[in-house]
Amino acid sequence: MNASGKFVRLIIRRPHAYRFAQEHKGATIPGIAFLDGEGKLTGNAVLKDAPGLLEEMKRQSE
Amino acid sequence: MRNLLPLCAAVLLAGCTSPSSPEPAPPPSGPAFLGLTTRAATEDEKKTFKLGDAIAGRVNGTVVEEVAADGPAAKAGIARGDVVLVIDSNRIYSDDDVQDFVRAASAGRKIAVLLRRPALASDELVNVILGAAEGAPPAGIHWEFAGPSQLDAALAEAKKRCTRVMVGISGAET
Repeated sequence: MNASGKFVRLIIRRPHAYRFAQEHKGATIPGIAFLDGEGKLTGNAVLKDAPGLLEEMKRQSE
Repeated sequence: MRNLLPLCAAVLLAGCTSPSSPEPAPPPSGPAFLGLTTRAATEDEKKTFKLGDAIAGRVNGTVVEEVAADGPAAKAGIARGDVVLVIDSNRIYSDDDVQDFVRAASAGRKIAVLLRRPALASDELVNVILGAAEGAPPAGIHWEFAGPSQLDAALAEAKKRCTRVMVGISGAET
């Protein structure tokens, strides 16, 4: 199963990414950030840390 | 009055009753094709077209470089030299923005493209029906939304599905 299918998926690339990371302190470029339905940052993982990213995805989907 | 309380609670909870089992995402439909490539505006073009609203040195607007013959963009009248300002409320800053938007969209979708053209005094809104891309869909994550202007739509969808929004934040430029 593709774990990303459990989430609503949005991609934001530069230059918007810089603004997004600024507005959501803790969000890392390049990375994956998780927001709740109110837009609040609930988690973040850097892309190069594949096991950490998978762990965060599991945590966020619980 | 007291009897109304459980009813109100049920109504409030009805929108999101099982956060642990979100609805599965719909299967990705066919990848879309717009049929144009763009490039960054030159300094002269920035002045000519009065491009502004910069983020990190990038101005809003990207110049159409190539248009595929008989492609969706060509059919809608988009031509080389036009400046793409906005696609479906997403301000466009680079060709990556355009390609990301198309990658996250589905074939057959109608999109609104705001153009700035040298011959016109005002900007022009053009509707384009996205075509179907040839070949298999790209491997990896299937993005549903692209660009910060679609964040609200993504959050609303997340609320509906009782799940979260996964945001890919990329600093790369291809």
